[in-house]
Amino acid sequence: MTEADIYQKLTGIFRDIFLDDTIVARPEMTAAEVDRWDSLSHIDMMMMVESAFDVRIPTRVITGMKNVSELVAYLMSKKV
Amino acid sequence: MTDELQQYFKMQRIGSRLTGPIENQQTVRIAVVSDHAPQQFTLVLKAAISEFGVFPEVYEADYGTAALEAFDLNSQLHAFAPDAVIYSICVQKFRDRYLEIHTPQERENLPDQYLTEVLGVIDALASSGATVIVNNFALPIERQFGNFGLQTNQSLYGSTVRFNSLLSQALRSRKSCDINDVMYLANRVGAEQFFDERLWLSAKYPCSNRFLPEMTRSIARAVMVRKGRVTKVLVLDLDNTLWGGVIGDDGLDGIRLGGDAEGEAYTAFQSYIKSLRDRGYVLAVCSKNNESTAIEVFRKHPEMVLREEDIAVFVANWNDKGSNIEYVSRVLNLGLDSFIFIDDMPFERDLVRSRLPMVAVPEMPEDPSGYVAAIERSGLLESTGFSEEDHRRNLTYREEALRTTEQIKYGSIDEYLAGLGMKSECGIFQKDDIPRVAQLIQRSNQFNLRTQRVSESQCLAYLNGGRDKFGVQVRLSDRFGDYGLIAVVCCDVVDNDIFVTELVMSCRVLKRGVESLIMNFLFNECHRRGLNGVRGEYIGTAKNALVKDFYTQFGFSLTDDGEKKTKWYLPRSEYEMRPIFIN
Repeated sequence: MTEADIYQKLTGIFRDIFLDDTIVARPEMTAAEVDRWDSLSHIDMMMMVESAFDVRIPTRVITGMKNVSELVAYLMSKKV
Repeated sequence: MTDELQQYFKMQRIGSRLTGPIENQQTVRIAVVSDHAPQQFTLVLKAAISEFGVFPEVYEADYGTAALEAFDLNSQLHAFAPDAVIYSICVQKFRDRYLEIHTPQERENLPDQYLTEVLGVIDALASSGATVIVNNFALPIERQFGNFGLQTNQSLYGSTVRFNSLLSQALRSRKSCDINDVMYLANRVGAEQFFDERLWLSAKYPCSNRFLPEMTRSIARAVMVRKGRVTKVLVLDLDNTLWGGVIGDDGLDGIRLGGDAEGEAYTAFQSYIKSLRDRGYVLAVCSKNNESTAIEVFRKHPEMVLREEDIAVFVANWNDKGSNIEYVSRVLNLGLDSFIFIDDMPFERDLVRSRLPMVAVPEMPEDPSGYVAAIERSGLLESTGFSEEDHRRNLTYREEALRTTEQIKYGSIDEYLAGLGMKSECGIFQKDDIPRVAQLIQRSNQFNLRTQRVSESQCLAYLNGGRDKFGVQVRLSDRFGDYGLIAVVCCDVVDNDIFVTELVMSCRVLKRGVESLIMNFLFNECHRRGLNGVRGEYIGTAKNALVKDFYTQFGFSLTDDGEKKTKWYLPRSEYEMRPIFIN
């Protein structure tokens, strides 16, 4: 998958989990700027990303992710 | 996304959207007290409870406040006055305690000590008058001792096994407390699937979120069984459910029961059903068969595990199963909402689900070796206990039912037939199909008008018959699957009429309109060939009473009324095309 594809797929997942059709996944995006992105929906989002990309996401990425670009970097490294 | 994960998200949505009871819905007051993170668990639990058609009014205690809420009689939990308290404890917390201990003596005492604390909270919660549902523990993978772990409390695994065992014991004397068996659930799906260390570490989830639906549904069942949501009656189909094959066509020697692996899958299933009978279920049979043909199996087949005296109500006829199940309900005087219907055919299962939505109809796999697991997985067997009376219940009901007689009401199923999406191919014999055509003629006993047993070589004559003879074959499929070739007619042209020499149909597709389809086709042929009418005969045998009046339904006139043979005729001009729900 290209980076662009990953961002597109993440956009779909974010809209689904955070119940906001206007969200667009961007590299600098953080939980703080999305209304419904709290610690609980964060876990849900990670589980959906796991399933959608068919990867296993380690603990450090689940809790340590500072912004979306870090998640994307991890997914790229796994050659999704 | 896997089904399980989809279920989780779906139930989470449903749970978060429940705001109040709909119409006349009953409200159930639930308090959730947990030592794991409660939020997602509670949302999914709400959805699980709402699946019973009730509204869950929920009080969610803060994470880790079980003792506070339980022991303080002025706590919010006590003020909430719950019907049921879900005391959701998890093995991860037990593990935390275990890992803090470093002396063998303390570790030896851990299960008993932990139990004392848990029971203290349970008893305090129960003092509110509520039912308490408490989890037991999923068995951890940490044995430390390999196989020996089971035999020592020094092993986390061994310690957990002991705790679960002590908990079960302790609850036998606590009538208002039940276990939610997480150990069973985790075992069934597998510990490696069930546990997710990342989710415990990052968000204090007790298990992978994929199993929250199953875990909360298990709790919901435990709550609702106390409110009378119990099943009491098992209604069983016969052909391909209790034995392999169709008794009406295959006979006692042809059905598959015992002997080889497939046959033993059926006897194993019967043995399991018998164990459910022993547990207190009332057994009923509901089958599309002649009664005498069906009951003979119970009386004569050496491999039958279930016998006539094991069945409280035995219904075998040609009516639709919805009406028959209603009849069983009236005879037993037990509500349809306590019924479980077991049938191998998706058509029948769906018919009953739409006609009688209060009857539970578990999905069944194609392979009989999977029938038992399908029933267990359905979660329909919840119980609050067992008594001597349960053991005798089926017999009591059977005796009562034998004293009761009722008329079976006939119901209309036209709407259902229309929605089936049935497609058929009805046409003259095809060369490649002749072997199957001949087989159907040989095998059919019940829906068979003249039982001439036209042979395969004779079928070829009908294939190539030209002006003098022709054959008709019918294939049928619906949205559940393809039934293949299910009806055959062999016709001879005699004195400018069509004479129906042979007409057979598979009993699997009765009363769906194939009969009309055939008749429409025959009269079309009559028209096409410039013939006058259709002549038919019914020759009675021990097995084909079913079709004695076949020709009357199409307006034929009786031209000869013999004892064992009747003759019929209808001129082309008098035939009315029948409407059918088949494409």
